[in-house]
Amino acid sequence: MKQLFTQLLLFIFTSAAFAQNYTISGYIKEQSSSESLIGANVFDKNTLRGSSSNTYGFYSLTLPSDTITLIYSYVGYGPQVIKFYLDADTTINMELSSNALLEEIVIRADEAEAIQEITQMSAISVPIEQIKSLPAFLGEVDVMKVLQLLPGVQSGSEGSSGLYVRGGGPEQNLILLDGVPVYNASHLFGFFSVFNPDAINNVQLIKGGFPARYGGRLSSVIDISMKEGNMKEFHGEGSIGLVASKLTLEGPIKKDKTSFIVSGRRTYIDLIARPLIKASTDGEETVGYYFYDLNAKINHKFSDKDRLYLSAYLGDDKGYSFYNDQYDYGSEINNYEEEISLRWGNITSALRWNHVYTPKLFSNVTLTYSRYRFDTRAEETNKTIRNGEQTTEYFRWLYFSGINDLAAKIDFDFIPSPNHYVRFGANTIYHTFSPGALNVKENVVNEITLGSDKTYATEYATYIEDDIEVNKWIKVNAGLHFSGFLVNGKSYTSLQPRISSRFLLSENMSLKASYVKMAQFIHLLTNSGIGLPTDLWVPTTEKIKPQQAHQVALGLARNFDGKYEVSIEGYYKTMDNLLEYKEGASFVGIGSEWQNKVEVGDGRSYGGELLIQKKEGKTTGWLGYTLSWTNRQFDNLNFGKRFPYKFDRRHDLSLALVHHWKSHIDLSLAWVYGTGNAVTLPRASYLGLEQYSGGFYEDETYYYGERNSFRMKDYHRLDLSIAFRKQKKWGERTWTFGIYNTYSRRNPFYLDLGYDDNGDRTFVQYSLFPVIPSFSYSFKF
Amino acid sequence: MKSYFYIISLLVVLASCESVIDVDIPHEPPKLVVNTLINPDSVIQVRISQSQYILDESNFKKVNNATVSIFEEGVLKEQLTKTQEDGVYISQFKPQIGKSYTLTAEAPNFTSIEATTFLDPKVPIEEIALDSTIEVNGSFCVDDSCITYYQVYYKVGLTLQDPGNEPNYYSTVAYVKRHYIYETQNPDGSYRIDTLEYIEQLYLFSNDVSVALAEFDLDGGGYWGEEILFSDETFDGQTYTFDFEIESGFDSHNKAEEIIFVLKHLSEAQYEYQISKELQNWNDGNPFAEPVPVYNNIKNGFGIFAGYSADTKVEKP
Repeated sequence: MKQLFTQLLLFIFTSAAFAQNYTISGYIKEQSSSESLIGANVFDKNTLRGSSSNTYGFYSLTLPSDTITLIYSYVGYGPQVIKFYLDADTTINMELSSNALLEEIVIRADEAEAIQEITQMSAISVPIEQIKSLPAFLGEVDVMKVLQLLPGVQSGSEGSSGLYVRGGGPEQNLILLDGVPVYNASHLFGFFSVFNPDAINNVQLIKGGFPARYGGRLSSVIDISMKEGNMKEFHGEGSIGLVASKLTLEGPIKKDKTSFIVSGRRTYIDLIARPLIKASTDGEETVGYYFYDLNAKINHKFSDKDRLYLSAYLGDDKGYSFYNDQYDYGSEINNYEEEISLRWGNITSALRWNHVYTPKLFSNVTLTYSRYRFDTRAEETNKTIRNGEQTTEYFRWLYFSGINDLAAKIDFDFIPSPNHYVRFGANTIYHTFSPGALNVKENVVNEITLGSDKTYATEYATYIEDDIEVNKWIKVNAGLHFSGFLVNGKSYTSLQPRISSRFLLSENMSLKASYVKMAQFIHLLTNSGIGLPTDLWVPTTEKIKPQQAHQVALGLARNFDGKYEVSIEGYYKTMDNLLEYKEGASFVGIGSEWQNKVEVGDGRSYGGELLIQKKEGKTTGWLGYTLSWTNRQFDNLNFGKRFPYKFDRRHDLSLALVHHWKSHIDLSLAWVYGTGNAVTLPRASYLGLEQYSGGFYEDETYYYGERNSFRMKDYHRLDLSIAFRKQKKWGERTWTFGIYNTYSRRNPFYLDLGYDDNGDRTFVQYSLFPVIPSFSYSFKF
Repeated sequence: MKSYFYIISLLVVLASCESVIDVDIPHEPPKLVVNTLINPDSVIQVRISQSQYILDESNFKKVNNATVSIFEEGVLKEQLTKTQEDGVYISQFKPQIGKSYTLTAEAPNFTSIEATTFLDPKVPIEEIALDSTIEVNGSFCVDDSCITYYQVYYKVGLTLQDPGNEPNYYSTVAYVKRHYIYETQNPDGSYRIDTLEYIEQLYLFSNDVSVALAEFDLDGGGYWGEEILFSDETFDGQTYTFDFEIESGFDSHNKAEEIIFVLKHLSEAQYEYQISKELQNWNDGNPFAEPVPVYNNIKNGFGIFAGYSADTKVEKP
């Protein structure tokens, strides 16, 4: 292994040395706002050499001294061409404009780095404007739900924003918000995700062929970059919808030096409902629910070489009920108050420093803090005044769980020549797990805390990868990711080779193949199909080993005239050391240790995916189809037999289209179809142990047979939306009207025993959402 | 965990609609079902019934033409006698502590079933500590005859010596014996005071850390029921005091004479059965929970055949 490393390094440096070369480097940005363009291309027409910008918009391209014609391009933006004689290292900060979009400039395939050129496979970037244009549930634009429309990604239960990528669970997604992992990405029991689209610049999803720079999760990387804030002018945007309202403000603090962005969102069902509930219960009872999130970011440009970013996210969900009862018997006055609430939320914050050491070496240092917390509490106060003497009984019950992370990370991009793009770095995370503790306080004096102790763990990783252009036809991304985990005196390490490669079969078509090994040191205990806050994050311990996956993927990518991109991929994935609750256990109690309530098993997933994407023109969008199989095997579940995963979906089809009908009218459509979820249903019933409770009754017991051996009905749904834009003196306003589940398909949510009209026992299907119209008003200035 | 469940249920109820659907569930031939707990203080009573297709909802058919045999330590001990009661078979002997028992049953058109259990020795109640709080709930007077209503809360500490180096499972139940004092009319028309003795099962509440199902009522932080199951997971081989509470209402005509505490030493099978049964009932109808299979130790059939031994201690309140 060591030898391979030395050879690799030697190769990189020698190949960089033999010609009289100069480096062009700089940042590629959006013209009007100076937002970084991530993954924009820069390309020399004469040598056919190119590079692309990283997460911070930085690029570097080293070429031999000669007359060069540089073309800068980015999907949806007008390209820029610069021609000059290269005889020194040059910094070019390029700004591209999207105004040219409607003039339909076609970027020819040989000018942009198209799908068949890149080594990365199983990855998709969805432009944020496209995400915002697609129909949204109750008018709330949701990044995660748009990602569910991509092949290889299954949605969970109806309406849920959880992602199940290539047979993996939602905890196996590395969801990065500005480089910080987010643990629970759902609001309102998964119906909405925590990301406010107005604050987002770019979203990338990787399902396989993971580059070595990513690690710590098995199944996917969802890399979300927040906007940086407009460096030139003050702008704002916002919307008022049925469920929530949001407002984003951004602008320069010092022009072209410092900028900020703040973005907030809150739901208001509770504010409307509260007075109604209060009125209907004579003021005795209040029930409510809300969530909010806040994003803020400041960035400062010290020079072309140094830039600092400080970003933070704060979000919470809160459900509460309050009950008050009073009576007055003259001799006795009583006042009873009861408050029950549950609350969960994330905080993430990151301080990042970009530094350009040389035009070929870019670095980023990140310090992050994040916290996920869930607590539910019940509080009772009972005050009694009897014969002028007051007695107070007080009881408080508090259950909390959570995870706190402190992390430091350093990453380098080294671009010695157009044939190499080297990335290397290291990171460490200090985790504090609080897997469920109960605090009970009674009458001030008695206070006890029970539960699993806090666990402290250190996770670390280091990696190196190189994107190597071996020759015109072959390009390889090879890397190693080494990670480790220290917990309770026990140490785990994992060396993960990552390789992906592409072979050009013709100018427009390439064959891609990849193999990756992934390791994950944290687990999620969940008994629900949706992202419930009671889902518990727990670490790998002495008894519970890290999760591990191997994945191979093979695919074809073809570009048709730069208008359509088509990719077909097949994958096979194994996952080990997966956790599930023991049969019947559904929530970690206080008395017993969580480790005694889980079973360890493995999973397999394989299938094929087709994606046809149209990125430009009046109509854009994609068609995705997935054929897949996913199963699980646990020695102590389902009699040790392999069973289908709950979200094993044989066929999954989605169509997402956005059409610029007129200059001020956009139409969009999303249609999804999926095989029904796997479900366990009772097959027979029998008499249970006879119970005597006041009298004898026959207690029915169900026999279920094998787990997930039945299927619900197929799921399909059509969503439509139309947006009317209008320019105003102050800016632009948009009215958006949407219809969710247009033909009101009764999609299965769950099945239960029930009765038909004749009173005979039958299975009853419960459906959640019929046709739901929505509208929202949004503005931009 | 009720609070989150309520909120979700609310959402589901608000938004959901029901439709009757056909699910193609295969019919399987019915199997014999037996649910029998044996203990050294009673003869063995077995009820044989049959399982049915999930969408049939008639009362469970009992099987009256079965041959039911009990083997002690692998040797045939007795063939049980059919009683008058529907599907019920009974033994002459009482099982003994420290022996294993096998039950077999065969009946025409059914696959024969078999199940085995072992009768563990009883674990004695070493001590009962009772701490009571009495509240007067009020009184009711007619003329000069008054009834006072009381509510009594007992905090109970039940001490046991757990046998070491093996998992042990327990349950506890409590009864109250009362004298009901009432006035009755003599044949000659005069009145006299009479008493009637009766026994009533009490509800128990516990948030002791060893309670098996404590997490089920997390909002209250404990478990409430007529029988509380617990295990020695946290106190293997130690002298342990299991804490619980009982609550009893009575009036001045209706006093508690004795409280009877029973500590059952359960076989693992019974413990697993009762817990999984309760979990199945608990998760039934919850769209977010995986259904729970009930523990079954009847080979080729369904049900439970398990043993326990009980120790009893009587306390004067």
